[in-house]
Amino acid sequence: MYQYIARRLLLTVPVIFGVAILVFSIIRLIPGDPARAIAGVQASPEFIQQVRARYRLDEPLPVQFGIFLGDLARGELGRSTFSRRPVATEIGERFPRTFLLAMTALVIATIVGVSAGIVSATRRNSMFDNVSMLFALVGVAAPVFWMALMLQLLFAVNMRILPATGIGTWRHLVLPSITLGMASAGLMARITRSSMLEVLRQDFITTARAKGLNERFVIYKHALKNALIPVVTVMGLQFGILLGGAVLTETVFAWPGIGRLLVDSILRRDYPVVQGTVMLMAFLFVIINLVVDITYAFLDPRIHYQGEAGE
Amino acid sequence: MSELLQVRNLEMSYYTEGGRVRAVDGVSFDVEQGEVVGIVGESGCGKTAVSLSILRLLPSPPAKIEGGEILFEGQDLVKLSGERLRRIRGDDIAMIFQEPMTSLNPVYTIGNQLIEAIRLHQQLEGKAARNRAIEMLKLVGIPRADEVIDEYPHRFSGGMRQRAMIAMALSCDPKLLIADEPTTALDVTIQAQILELMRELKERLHTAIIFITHDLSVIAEMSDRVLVMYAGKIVEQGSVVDLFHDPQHPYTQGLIGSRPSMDVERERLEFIPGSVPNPLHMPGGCPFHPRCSHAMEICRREMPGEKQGENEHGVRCWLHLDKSDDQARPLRAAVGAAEE
Repeated sequence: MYQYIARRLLLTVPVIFGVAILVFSIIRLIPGDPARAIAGVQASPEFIQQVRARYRLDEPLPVQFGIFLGDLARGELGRSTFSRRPVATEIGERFPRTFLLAMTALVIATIVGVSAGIVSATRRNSMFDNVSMLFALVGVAAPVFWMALMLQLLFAVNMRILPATGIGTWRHLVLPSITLGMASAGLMARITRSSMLEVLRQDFITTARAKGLNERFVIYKHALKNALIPVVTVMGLQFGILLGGAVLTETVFAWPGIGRLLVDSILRRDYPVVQGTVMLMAFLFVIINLVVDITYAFLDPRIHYQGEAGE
Repeated sequence: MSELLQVRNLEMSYYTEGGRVRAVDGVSFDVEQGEVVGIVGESGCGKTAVSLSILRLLPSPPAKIEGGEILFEGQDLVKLSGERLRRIRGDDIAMIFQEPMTSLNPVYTIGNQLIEAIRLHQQLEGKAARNRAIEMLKLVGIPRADEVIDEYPHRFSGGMRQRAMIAMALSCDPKLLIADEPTTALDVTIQAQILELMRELKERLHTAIIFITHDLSVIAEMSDRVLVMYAGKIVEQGSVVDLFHDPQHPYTQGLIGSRPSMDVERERLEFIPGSVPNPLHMPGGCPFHPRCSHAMEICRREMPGEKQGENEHGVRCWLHLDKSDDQARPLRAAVGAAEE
């Protein structure tokens, strides 16, 4: 198992390298002179030249890329051209808030989605199944900003039981995390349901029943562990999407997280912050995928062994 | 010997989008203690449906047992509550299936899957349950049983998995073992080993077996008595000797005739023309009549009753029943004319 994890960790290096190339080149592909954008519209040519030299934008592109990689390897992300504070500080301040929001949303989505999916699959075509699948559809289809406004209207304006915006207490977390988790819950309910139905048709389920095991044991021991493999994939992808997709939710609920930082920085052409934020998100996505792959190995013994056999 | 299982007029249908399919249509047979009963027939004739009906393992919907009794030691399994049926499943009646590759749960070790049945029915826990599992694996001839018990099914070959399935099925000393095509998915050499193992275990444990297969040579080797099924009905039943030496039903004759033989030299194998009828559009009368070379006028209109011969050798065919001359007119000429 440790060998498997080590090999997978090593594989993340080229992926991160690829993302670094992409981030670096996309930013350089944006039309216009970054030095001019940093210096401001009214800056004198001398000042622009100064800025160019300070940010080493006068070096050839491969050299610039080398500098970028070197900085990255040392964890040096540069300074914000807007606030003049280190990018790491800016991100470090806001990232925990987004992480908390995304994590809470994921927990809600998993609990609601997976349990609704299991019940729907075992009582296929029942009233519960139809209603929960309808909710799942609405959850996936409803736009986040609309859902956010409706929840604010209902719980903050009319019922006055939860704050509409801001951060501070756990009560501030409720509406944004429900808003954010809704779509994932719907998706996970659907995936769990179809995956469970697929597994319940398998021969080994008949074997388990033929042994005289009761139905709950058949479902929670024999079916669920097999059915969870696609669910975990979706969970991993969803967590990445939740982290990155918190932008809208953070905006509507005035939640000062990393999503809002990214949007603000793009508007301000604050390239170091954009670069740093995108790199962090990509890195997290890779780590999440690694965690998903490790989870597979725990869920399905065949995956781990196949990895070994491949050597 | 006394009756262990009595199946009486079993009726089972699938409700599909195309309509109702009568998979098992008035099937009756007995299994005595320690006896091996073979059920033989082509794919889709209802063999598996019968075997799964006994333990009510068919998914419902679409499957529904619509009539008849399945008496196991006097209790009707059709009417038994779920809880009481579960106590019989795996304990008194165990099953092994056709596909050893998919019949074991891939995410649990062999031991885990064996022990759960032992804990459930034998009231053994921990070390004792594990020892019993190892003992069973040894019994079915799995080498290094005490190490292999902690391995996952994907490390096993097909033959080994089927041995593990047999170990699992026999771990609670069942009185009846239902083996649904247990050797079909295996290589011929492995097939022979598994059959040998089952015969040996049957001698040692004195378990009654219902052996389902489409392979007549397997039936000949394994069974005491044989049921021949066609289109959800038993068309002939009798002792293995009577059935092979004196097959009465044209379908049984066809099955026996289409086997390759080492004694007789033949250019081509004989075969039964046509194929099993579409269950949604069953022909009227005897369902075999469109494929039967002896078909008569009456075969098209009425299903024959069962004629009991010596040694409980029964057959459902108009050839062996009284009928008027008019009814006995051969059908082939008529069918041929109609087709032109």
